[in-house]
Amino acid sequence: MLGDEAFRLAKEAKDITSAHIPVYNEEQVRLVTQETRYLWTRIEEMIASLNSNNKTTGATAEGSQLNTNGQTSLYILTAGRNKRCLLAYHHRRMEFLRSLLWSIHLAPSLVPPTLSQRLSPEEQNFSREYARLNSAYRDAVEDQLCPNDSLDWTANGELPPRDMFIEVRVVRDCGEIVTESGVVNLHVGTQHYLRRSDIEHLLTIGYLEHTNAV
Amino acid sequence: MCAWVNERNAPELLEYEGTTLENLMELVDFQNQRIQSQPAVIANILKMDVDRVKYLVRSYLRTRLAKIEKYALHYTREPRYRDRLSQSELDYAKGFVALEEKHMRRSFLDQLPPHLRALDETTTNGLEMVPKPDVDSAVFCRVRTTVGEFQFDASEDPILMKRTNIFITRYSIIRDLLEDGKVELI
Repeated sequence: MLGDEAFRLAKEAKDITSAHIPVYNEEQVRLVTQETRYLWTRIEEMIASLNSNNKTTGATAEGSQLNTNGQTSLYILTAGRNKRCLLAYHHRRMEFLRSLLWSIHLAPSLVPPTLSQRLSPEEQNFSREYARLNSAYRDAVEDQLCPNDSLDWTANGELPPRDMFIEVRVVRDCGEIVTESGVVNLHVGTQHYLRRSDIEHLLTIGYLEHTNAV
Repeated sequence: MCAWVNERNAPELLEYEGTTLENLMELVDFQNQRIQSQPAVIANILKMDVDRVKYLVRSYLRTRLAKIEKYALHYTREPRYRDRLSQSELDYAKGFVALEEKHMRRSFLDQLPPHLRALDETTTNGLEMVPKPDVDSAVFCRVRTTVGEFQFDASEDPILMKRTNIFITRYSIIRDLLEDGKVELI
């Protein structure tokens, strides 16, 4: 039925939660654009025939003219609605991508493979360019506000820092890292008491685990 | 600090507090230099303080970025908002608009009939495609300096606004007061 394909797409957009994203539905997007294109050629045909009718028959064809008018506006509205559904679908997916990227420090290479399979090539492109845009902004701000210091962008932005030092357990091998107090070797299974800002980034990408988290 | 709370709670983008930020970061710089000459215990406390200030600055800028992304097209078009952005934020907003449009175009817009490719049209039933912040959303505000009788709603009697009073109201009503610094959002 008219508009069904777009409805399916809109429903899929609604299924996107902060933790889950379905596979990019290329087929459905294609169906909707196809339908829209078809509708638009029909609309153009109808308008053309309407114009020629006006010239030739005048008042006699009023009944059929009304009929075509109704159909034309129905088609125009459906085409518009299809477009809105497409926009909404892509918009939701972009929103998801953005929040995903923020949670992994805007490094597109860190997108888990299970997720990146579900993205369209365009979306992967988008992530890379989005990350680039952000780092450009960060550099500009740091240059302006604090040339001799960094703003620690990688730190967790949701909660204010509570403790200077935290206890962490190593979940995945990270090799040696350099902290202010010297070099620390992060082997799997070992526990360390470290400065939060030194290892914040490892914590967020899941290499370390906060053991005394409140 | 106040700028941060206001920004977090206001539905639209507020004035960029550039000078405040610069002063703040200068202080941080100064503090960082002081830390080096302090004994470890005090240095740690000062460091903690510096980290917290940085957190505020980060959070402030991030909140703004989130708002900019949400209504990027609107903010880059309206001169009123354009002036509220810092240079780097403006660049960011423009870049974001371009990026979003490119993504939409490549994903499906180019497959549509040419008449349907615009991203900023108004549909026949008056729906606009460019999203705008909802300035009528409810906010809590505290009065900083006594305003006196204030007309909240055209249909209601004026209400006396005294210092430290707290109101819940529509954002658009107290917007001017907020810009003058007479109230703060909480």
